[in-house]
Amino acid sequence: MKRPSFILANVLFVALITIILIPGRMDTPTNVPFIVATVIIEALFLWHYLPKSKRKPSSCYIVIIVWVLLIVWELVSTDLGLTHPVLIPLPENVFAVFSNKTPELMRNIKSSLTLFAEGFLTAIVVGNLLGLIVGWLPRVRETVYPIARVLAPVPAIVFTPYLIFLLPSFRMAAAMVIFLGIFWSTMLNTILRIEAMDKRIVDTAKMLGVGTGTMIFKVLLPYLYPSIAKGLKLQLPSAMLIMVMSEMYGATSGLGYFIINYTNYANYTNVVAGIILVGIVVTVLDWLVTLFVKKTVRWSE
Amino acid sequence: MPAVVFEHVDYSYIDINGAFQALEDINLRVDSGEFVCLLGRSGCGKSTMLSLIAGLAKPSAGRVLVDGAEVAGPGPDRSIVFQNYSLFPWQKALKNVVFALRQTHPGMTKETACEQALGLLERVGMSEGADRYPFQLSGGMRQRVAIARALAVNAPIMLLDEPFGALDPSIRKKLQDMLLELWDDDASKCCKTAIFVTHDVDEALILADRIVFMEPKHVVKDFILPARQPGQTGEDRLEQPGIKAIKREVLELFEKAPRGKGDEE
Repeated sequence: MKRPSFILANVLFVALITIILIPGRMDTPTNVPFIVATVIIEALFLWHYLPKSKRKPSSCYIVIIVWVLLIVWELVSTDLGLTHPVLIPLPENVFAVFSNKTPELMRNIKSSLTLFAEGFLTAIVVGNLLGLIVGWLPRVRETVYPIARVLAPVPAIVFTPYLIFLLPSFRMAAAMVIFLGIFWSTMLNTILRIEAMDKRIVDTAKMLGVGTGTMIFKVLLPYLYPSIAKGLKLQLPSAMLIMVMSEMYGATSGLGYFIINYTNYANYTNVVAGIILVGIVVTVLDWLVTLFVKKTVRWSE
Repeated sequence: MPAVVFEHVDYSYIDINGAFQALEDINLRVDSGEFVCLLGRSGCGKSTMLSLIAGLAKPSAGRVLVDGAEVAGPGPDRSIVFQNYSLFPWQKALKNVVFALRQTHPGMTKETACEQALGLLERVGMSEGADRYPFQLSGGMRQRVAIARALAVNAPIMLLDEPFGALDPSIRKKLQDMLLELWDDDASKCCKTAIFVTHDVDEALILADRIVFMEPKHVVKDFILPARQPGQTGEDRLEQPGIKAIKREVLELFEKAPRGKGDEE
């Protein structure tokens, strides 16, 4: 016996395919990419929903909302022609961007991800490293922590004009903006984690007579690793936001550049496709981080 | 030769409720080879005494001497067992002991450390759980591993801060017997001197050679207990002549003792 919401989700899927196939008032060159995208969503939904072990009714509700949005979009724009095709791009055309502009999109994704890796990963590594050292040494902490408290809330993006001016390339400036946006919060969080950690762990290590290096790298780091790793998930969206914004400012490639560039040409079809792509990239990254955390954290309290 | 000496020790600290004096003019001498229980209600300052010996806290006034030298800070010449959650949760049981061994015996190879750690775990009855993380162990098993880790340090003084406080009575009994076995085993004695903090009268009577009874801030009375017979279980010990009289006296003190910080009803 299937749930009613599951039946409704599939009825909506069939309805969506039908209205895509019915020729509307607006002509579109091809509707194949839109149908492919729809089928991919349905396949992902079924893959998630059908195995009984991980079945969640919420996945039905989510997919119902997606179908309703797509149906409204398709009906209003393509089928009934109620909206201006430039301002509200036709879904067929938006999804066609993914197949027509694959090399260009891939190039931009690659550029964004490289930039992201440079800025985000260095910020995570340096931020945690300094956080551990600063957090452990009381005198250093008392000096650095107030300074960090003042600098951390300044939105990194405001530094962009100066960084572009100071650093040799736009790219380096963009990487630096991401770095600054993530670094301070990472370091502050790690300092606070050390302050909040169970004293008995530290006391036990002290009684064993461990030195500063052992304390930081063999006691504090492994103990705090799970919360640091889980923190990555929270930092990912803000890092992504800073990245796209910094690309909009000064870069000559990347997803943010792709979106801002076509906005300037009023090509909203490409803009909407770019926005959807950013969503997909963020989701995939988030999923990868979750997987990474799951694989590397083997213990709990 | 006294193992531990308190000379006019005061200890006070400041927290959100303001300044608080935990110990006032404490004078105490623990001789080498004694098993001493610091007994008292929660919040009477007995754990603070242990922290001072451990060097994890510094006296506000007076001196704490260990082996004749003033305590400068924590170090591996004293080993410690806390009540709970002091095992390193990211290391398996064996690794916890290996880490302690290699920290306190520089130059020891991994293989030797592993071998010795397995031996220590066997002595505390934990050869089965060597490959498990602390979160996979029960409270009793965790304390067994914590004791094995303290043994690994091989320090002359062992400090135990209510190590069995969070355990079920039956498991508690087993661990008390185990601790006594380790203490009585002359060939591989766990330590020369043991200082054990507890608020459980029976536990103190079972384990100790000497009970130091504390009221908030002060040492009130010192009891020297009749010698334990080797191989005696906890229950036998409580039936031993002389022990019952002391028990009555200690319980009376308990009744009269004012409540300590954090122990208000």
